[in-house]
Amino acid sequence: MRLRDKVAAVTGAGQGIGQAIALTLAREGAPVVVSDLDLRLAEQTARRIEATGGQAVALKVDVTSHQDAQVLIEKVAESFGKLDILVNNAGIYPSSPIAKIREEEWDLVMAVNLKGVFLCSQAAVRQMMTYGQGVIVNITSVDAKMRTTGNAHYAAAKAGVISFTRTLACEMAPHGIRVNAVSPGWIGTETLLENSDRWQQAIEEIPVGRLGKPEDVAEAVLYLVSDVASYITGEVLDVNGGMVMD
Amino acid sequence: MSASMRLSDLPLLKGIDLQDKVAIVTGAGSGIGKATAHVLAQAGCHIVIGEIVPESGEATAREIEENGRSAIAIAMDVAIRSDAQHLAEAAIEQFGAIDILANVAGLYPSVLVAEMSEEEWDRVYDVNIKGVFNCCQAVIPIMTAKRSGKIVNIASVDGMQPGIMPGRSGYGNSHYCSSKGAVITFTKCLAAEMAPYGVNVNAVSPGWVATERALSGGRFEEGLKHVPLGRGAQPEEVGQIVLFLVSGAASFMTGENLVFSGGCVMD
Repeated sequence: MRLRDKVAAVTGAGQGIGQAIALTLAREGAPVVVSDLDLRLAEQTARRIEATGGQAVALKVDVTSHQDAQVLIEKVAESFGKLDILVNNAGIYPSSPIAKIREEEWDLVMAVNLKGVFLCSQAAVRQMMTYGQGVIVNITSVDAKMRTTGNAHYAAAKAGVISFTRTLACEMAPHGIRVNAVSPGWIGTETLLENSDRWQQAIEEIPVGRLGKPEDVAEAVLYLVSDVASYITGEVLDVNGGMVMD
Repeated sequence: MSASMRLSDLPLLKGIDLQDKVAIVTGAGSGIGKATAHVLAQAGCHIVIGEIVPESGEATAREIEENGRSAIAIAMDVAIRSDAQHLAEAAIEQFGAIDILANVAGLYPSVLVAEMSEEEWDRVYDVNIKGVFNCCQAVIPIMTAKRSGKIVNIASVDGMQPGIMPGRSGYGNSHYCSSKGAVITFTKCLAAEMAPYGVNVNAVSPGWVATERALSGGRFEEGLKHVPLGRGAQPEEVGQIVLFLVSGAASFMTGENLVFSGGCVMD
């Protein structure tokens, strides 16, 4: 039980990587506020946590909303007390070549993937600073580091998450708060497998020869939020089967 | 097999010749933008200035004309898509082509995350990364139709690693840093998408540059302590790197982020 009684909030935890993260943190003893744009999915995750003896509450959160970010932090306090861990996982990844990206799509991708990280982190650190401790993990993407075609807005937003992670880590270090990121490669979530016909080709380019599992990412998050990682801040931990090494 | 170029064919040895190329430069009313406009003009380009402060854009255009080159200034905000469209249209109307786009317009205010307003976050993002997207999208149809073009985006070493000021909790530029990180990756994506059309897209990541704005910020001297070469860059030196990237000498370079920091960041 590496996280006994450490309270966690996870965004986008209704499915995929976010769900795996919530389940993993709960497995290690953390009470979790499971948030998602889809309340029904968040509730499903929360019920799975309770079924295995963990503690969870579900909340509908739109990370692009300043008020929702506030409500998330308040819900943590109300349900479980002091916020110890925030995982900014909510993200969307539509696909359009740059010449065709409509302004609305650009704005939405930036808002969910990058501004959402800012809004939730800001709400969280204002709390964490009063305690002089806390950890934040932001989920970025291998796409932030490599040339890709067809998702420049997503890639740019995820690169922004990396830079934001590093800057926030600098600002928060004197307050005892660590800020890191995990950069997943191609992870075999339902959403990916449904929407992408590129995954078969992708495996050819992955040294370990398989797509990642959501649990692979969740274990990396677990490591970064644990006390054993107390000397690590401003780091981006790649979990991509060797697809990009830097 | 040995295939080599003749020395006399090497562009930098021949001299960079951008005679009559049309270059759009945003943020050219001051600092790096202004210096870039002057450098490209000296190399023979017709310059189209996009600048939010009309008087300063016009002043740069006048200076270029006084030096015997041609330039027009368009008052515009890169964050506004129709302004970016209009900028591209003005270039075509005045000079008949768009060969080069240098996205220089940018903001770098200072406020810690815990204290930052949503409006400030939005404004920095709108200018620094959405503005790049807007202007690139405005010129893409012209460059792809012509199957040639050069785009250079000014990013920053701050987009790679934030500066760590001793004893303090950072420069308070998380919005700036993250917008510049986004510019670097956007550059790579655009480079990949435009490569089939013969359009080069690169970024320059300067470190400390001795612009008026940077020098008046109160941190320049402290910052120089972290620069191995012991000085800031002159804005014209950054302009010279842009010149290199848009010249024939760099025609095999695309998707690159060229760090220009006096050794401050080595990556």
